[in-house]
Amino acid sequence: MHERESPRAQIALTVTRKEYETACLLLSRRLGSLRALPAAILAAGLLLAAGFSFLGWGVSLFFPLLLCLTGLLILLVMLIVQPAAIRRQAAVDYNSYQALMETAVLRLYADEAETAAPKLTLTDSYALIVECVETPELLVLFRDRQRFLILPKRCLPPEEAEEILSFIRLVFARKRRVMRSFIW
Amino acid sequence: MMEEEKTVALSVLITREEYLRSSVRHHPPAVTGAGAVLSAAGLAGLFFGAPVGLTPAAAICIVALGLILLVYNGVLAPFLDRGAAAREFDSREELRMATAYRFTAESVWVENGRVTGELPLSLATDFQRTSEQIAFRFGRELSFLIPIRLLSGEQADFIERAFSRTM
Repeated sequence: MHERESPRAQIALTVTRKEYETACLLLSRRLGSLRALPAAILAAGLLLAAGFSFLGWGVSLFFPLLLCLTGLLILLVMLIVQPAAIRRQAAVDYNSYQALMETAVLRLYADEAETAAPKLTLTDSYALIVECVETPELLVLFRDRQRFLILPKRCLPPEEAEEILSFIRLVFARKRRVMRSFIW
Repeated sequence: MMEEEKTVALSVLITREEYLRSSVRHHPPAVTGAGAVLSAAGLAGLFFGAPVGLTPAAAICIVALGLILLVYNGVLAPFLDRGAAAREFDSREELRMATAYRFTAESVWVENGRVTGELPLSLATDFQRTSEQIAFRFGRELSFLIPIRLLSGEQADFIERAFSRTM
């Protein structure tokens, strides 16, 4: 009978609400509705520039004003409204996440990650992870456009933290992205 | 197999078409409303836009944008939803695996290639029963779909009663 290998690392997971919201924003930025954020900012900038330039042409205020307002609206939606909606939904989803993942333990094997909680066990093959995003505080593994695996760096055992980080960075070398926040 | 309607056990393998049919989402009517407003504003701009500097070309663009928003919910959105669902079905391997369920009045035991565990129905965040399927979710992490064709009427009623009692 084939015995399962020992895990490379075993980590007690505790995820705060803020970390969960950050992970949701990162997921949305990379795979969801905020993917178009750079293009939206560029388009808004161009609209604002065009609106301001038309102002000096001596024509009616309506068209330049429309351009400027459209640019501002795009910025408002993409930087404030949409992230706020994502945070609100994340706050709701966090309640069920906490209920399911209370006292969860993350075990990292050579080919997969296993999250063991009292009520359920989740097994995620690294090959099926779409992307790994690393921020100064978090590692977030995206399973698809809805689901992810969060690993706060503060949960890493201090004596093994560097080794675990090196392992994850190696496994996801081709699918890893470093970000400072959900915007860049 | 049922024992005095206290448990419902089944194994489910959904087809691609069933998953695509479950993907059609409700979109807010505000989009249609905005389309109507823009179309009307563009039409008004076509006839009365000259005093405010609105050229016919700009007015036609506004009308075109309004028409796109008008038909978005009814025509474009279902098409886009199905496309997204198709990509999701192809990318999520566990959707192509059989999932075993065992429902009781308070919980559901789930087992497939990714998830194993007994989930209290009180933690479910969404439950929907249509003529074609039963879908339920536990937050963002876990979502399940059972085609009605695999259930008898009594079994489907049992599951629905269990969820409605505990959610």
